Amino acid sequence: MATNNDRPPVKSVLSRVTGIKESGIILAIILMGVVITIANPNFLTPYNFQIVARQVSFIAIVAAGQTLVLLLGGIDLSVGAIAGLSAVLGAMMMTSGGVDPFVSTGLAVLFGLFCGSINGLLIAKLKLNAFIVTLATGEVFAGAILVLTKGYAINGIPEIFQVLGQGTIGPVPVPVAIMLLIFAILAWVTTNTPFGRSVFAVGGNREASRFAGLHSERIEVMVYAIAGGSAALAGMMFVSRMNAGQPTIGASWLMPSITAAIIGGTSLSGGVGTIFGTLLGALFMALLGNGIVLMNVSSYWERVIIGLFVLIAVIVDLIRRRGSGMSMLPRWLNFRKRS
Amino acid sequence: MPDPTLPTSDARRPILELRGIRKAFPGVLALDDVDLKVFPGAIHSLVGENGAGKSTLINVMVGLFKPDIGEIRIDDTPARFNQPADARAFGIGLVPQELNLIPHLTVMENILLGTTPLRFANTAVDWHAMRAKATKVLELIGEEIDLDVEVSTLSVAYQQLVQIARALAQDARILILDEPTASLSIPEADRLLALIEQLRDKGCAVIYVSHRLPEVFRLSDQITVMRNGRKVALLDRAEANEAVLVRHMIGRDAQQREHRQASVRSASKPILEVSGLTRVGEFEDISFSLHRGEILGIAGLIGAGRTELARCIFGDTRRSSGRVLLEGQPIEFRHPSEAIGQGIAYVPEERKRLGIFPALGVAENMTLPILSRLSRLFQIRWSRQRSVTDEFVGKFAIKISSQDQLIRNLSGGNQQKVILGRWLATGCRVLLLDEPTRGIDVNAKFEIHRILRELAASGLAILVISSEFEEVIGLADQIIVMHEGRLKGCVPASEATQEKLLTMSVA
Repeated sequence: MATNNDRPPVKSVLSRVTGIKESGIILAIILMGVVITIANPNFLTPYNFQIVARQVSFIAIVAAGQTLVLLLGGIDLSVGAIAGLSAVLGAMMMTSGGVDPFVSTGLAVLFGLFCGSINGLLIAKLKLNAFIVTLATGEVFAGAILVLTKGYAINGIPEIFQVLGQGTIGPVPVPVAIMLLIFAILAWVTTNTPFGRSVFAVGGNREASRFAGLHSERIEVMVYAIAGGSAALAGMMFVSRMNAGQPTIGASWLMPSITAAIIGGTSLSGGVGTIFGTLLGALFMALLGNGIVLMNVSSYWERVIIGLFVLIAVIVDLIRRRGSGMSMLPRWLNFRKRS
Repeated sequence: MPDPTLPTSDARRPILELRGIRKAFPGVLALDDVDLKVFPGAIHSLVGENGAGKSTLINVMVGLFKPDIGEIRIDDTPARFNQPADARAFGIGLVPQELNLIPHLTVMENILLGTTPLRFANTAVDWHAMRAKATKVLELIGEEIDLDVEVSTLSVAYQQLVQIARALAQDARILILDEPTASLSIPEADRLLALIEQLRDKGCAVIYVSHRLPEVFRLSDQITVMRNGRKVALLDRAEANEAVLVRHMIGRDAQQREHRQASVRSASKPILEVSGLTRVGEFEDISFSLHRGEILGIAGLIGAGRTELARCIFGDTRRSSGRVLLEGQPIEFRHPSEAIGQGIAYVPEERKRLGIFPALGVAENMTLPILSRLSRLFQIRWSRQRSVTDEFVGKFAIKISSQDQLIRNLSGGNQQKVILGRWLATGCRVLLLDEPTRGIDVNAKFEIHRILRELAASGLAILVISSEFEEVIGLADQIIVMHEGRLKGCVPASEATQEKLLTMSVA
């Protein structure tokens, strides 16, 4: 019995949060940093880093919630619309409603949690397909934004509220601090709590999780709620950043939220991935965008290049686990198993 | 069918011959110097434990794997298969264990998948020719199946026929059947065996792979026994019997069944008492009682409602009527977690699909139901998880390289032990086991039986569902038999024989 003698040292709480197999993406980030620095030394300035970090923070927070959903084997196509609708509602509360801006933010996040749990309930209780449910609710939420705003931005955001999107704590922009906080919490939750581990279990084998006594439906509702809540928070931060509740908030956030997770090593079939990887994935995408500007490449190329990197990430992942019997296909694309 | 049936004689030419086949995978020698001769109009069975190399050999014959060394000869001329289509072209047809039909296509389309007749310069499906061809193939089989229904609506037995029909439509002269009766009821299996005999009489060469020895004896002209990737015996039907086969398969004499002295069913109150339990459409009026330290076996055939019964007790499904008492208290669960909370555990059949979490490690697989108990303020205390895992890894002698090793990389027997550990870690009082040793090799099976006996001796109440009568008889103190959702009777293991149980299970 070769069990007890040769086992590796016990992992600490922190090493579980951070130390997982993201070496590939870290290497890619460093490599890209070197290339950009050689092309344009302005890359390595604190000012530039502030800009990149601030830019990435909004989408990264959305991507963190999306990662949880992907880990569960689902997908949330409505995060962008939830972000936009919550942001518009929050902006209306603090302008025409006269509610304290930070209370409004809290209420907007609650509304995001609510929207997410509607998704979760439809998917978990009625066993509907996540792709279709969130496609539909996303349309509803996006449409509601236009109904509420008639396409006009909501102006007159109180000045005090600017701190959320534009302020700094020392050298660190506030949105970056919030992003880091959210990632730290979610990374801890996914790696060190019973709830987080259950997300991996349900995502890895939903049928078995029921027989192991896990309440997969409850977990599913909570995960979609978290995705909605984090999207709403990002939306409110963006209101603060732009000084306005624009109806376009979140409209372009959906795809990057999924892309960041995939580049960060999260599998679309569920059960595999890390929150920390998603942070790196988001960072990678932001640096790429920044590098394209700094290297005087036409920014029209950005999406082409990011698309290619997603393909590379997926192919690397496929090679890594070829033969191990794990499907690359997301659950919602699989045929239902016959018995 | 081509090839006229030749009279049985040693001078016949083999239609398919394998010579010295060797196939290695990184770290394993899957096949080592395997010879096989298959004759037209004869059935050749391939038996062996799981992992003996049967599947690899089949994959070599159908062109999925290329042998490292060795020769495949068809009609006495060497053949090389670069891909499955090459093997098909030589007339080798496979009916795999996991059927590969397209669920939403019709029977006709499935039969002619890959050989669909075309017209208009191969640009359009020739539906008339297709229907004619499918009808002709089904006539060969002698079964009437509606050509226009989706195969997903057929029972497994009929799906199997469709799969055989597909092989015949591809002009298979050599038919390989891999565990074809594994998921069939006895009458269905019987019909399938008759069909195989009929195909043999028409001159087809059949390679039959099965764990069910009675079927092997009924069908085979010759039997090849494999063990650890080698051919260990080639027997004629006349010289084969169960003892001989088992000895070759496990490489030693079949272990004498160690009968436990029937534990005294004390006058004490039973721990689990089921009375009149009914779930409409699944099982009806089931009553039994289970004591501490007792192993109760539930025998029966597939589809007898045994799994459904266990899942209902476990709270996976709701009952229609009846009562279940746990230590005298009536219980009714809405979710398995409530059953677990009350000390009832259930090890489902289909370990891969319903038991393990393939992408998680051994320790997590073992402690998933008790994570909250291991935690303080939501933080899992890893050292406690390690010590719980260590306890059962040691107790059950589970072979792992580390606690974080992914469970999918363990053998079936070790996976099952991890799952047993999972439930014992919850501190369960009643353990429901559904086919606990299916798909597990013989040695691991003996070990799991030993573990279960020890657990019972230490006071656990165990309910074992098994389709292997031998297993139930060897393991249980009392055996209840179910047939079509109803209780057919209860026999003490000491009085039970396989024949007796079988008779009760079918009538």
